[in-house]
Amino acid sequence: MSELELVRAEFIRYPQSLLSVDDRLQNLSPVLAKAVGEQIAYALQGWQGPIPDRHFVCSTIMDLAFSRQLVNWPTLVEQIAQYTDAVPDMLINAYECASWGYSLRQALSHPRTSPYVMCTIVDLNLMDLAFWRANPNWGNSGFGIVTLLFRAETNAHECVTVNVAKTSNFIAEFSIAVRNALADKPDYKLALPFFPPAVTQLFQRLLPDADMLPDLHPRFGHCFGADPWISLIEQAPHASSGQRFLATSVALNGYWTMADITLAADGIFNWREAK
Amino acid sequence: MMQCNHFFNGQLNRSPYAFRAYRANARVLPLTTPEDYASLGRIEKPAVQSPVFCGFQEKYDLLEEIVNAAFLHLQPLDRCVMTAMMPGGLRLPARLLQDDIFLLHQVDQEAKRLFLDGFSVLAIEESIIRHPLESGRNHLRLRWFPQHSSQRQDGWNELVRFLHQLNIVAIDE
Repeated sequence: MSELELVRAEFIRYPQSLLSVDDRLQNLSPVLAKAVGEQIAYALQGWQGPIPDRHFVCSTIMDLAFSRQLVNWPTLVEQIAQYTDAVPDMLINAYECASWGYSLRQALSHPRTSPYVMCTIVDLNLMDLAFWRANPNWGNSGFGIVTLLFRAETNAHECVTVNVAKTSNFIAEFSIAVRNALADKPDYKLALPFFPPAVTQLFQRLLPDADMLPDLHPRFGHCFGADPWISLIEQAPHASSGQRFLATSVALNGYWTMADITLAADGIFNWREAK
Repeated sequence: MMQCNHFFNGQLNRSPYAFRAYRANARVLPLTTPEDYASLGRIEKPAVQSPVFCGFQEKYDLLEEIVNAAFLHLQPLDRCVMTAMMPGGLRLPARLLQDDIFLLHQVDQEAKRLFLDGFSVLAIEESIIRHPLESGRNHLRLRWFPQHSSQRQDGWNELVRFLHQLNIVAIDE
């Protein structure tokens, strides 16, 4: 059995930075812990199952805070524990927007004590830098946190693919890999990352037969690794029973990931705006 | 019981590839507004500024060589966990993306989990800077957790000799 089923997906969008540039950096860790901890607790409201023994925090844009010791990971985890029992156990950001896929590969290809795995993808503009707000490579950014709870069957590692481009034309290589993955799966709906028209036109040219979910870049901006999950959240109310999805992300450095996903019949999928 | 009977604490003390030419490819987060400078200006400067001995591509080449040497010399070795300084700016070498390596912010928990699952594990932690604005002391720390004691020390000694050839020398601190 190799199903990878999405049980919960909750996205919270942050149009504003958590801290202003006038705030003291000492406040960063408690403020971030509150945002992440409350989001995890919100996503798991009413959850009766066991707390997963693997919970990855994935990020593309937040390394500076950790590498410059503005936020200490063990301290942050202790602070998150004030809000939720489902504390994350590790931080993964080397693979940029594809970090969730590499995390799932690591979790699913090694022995597990629980069928449940969590990823919380956090991309907040902690230092409020202009570079992260918009960029010619991906247009406007969208900041937020998405919490994902998966139910993974024994061979669920077969549902997750990771790879890396060999040339600088990584969007084309990624698109061809997606096309190959969908070759014998005509019924799948495809969740691609959100990009400006120059990139989405390339997707359309290289994936003419794919049943693509709408590109939500105009509404949300590029939300880094969260994009395909926002697509699934948007699609969930309209999805027919047993519908299969290919959730995909590609990073600027050419890492990509694809996951064969079903939505749990009793799943909860929502997004909201931070106040 | 998880025993680390092989431990190397070292520091890069000059260029690892002194006579090799590399393209200049420094990737620093661009600062474009006064607010950007005000924001980063809040970060305290390190008490000691470490020298930069290698650039972005050199560092990835260095890490790839160390991983290749580890899997060549250490018996038994099944998995490697390694810290990663990001944003990378450059594409990671394909070897570092394979499924016997996991790159993460802190290695201890994953090293322990893999060891308890029956794997022989190498944990690599590094703070080799590629630009003066990065923070780090050019340290490299290796810990090997084999499932069974190796009959011979040769492999570990070979690896340490290789690190010395790359100008990574053992330190006491």
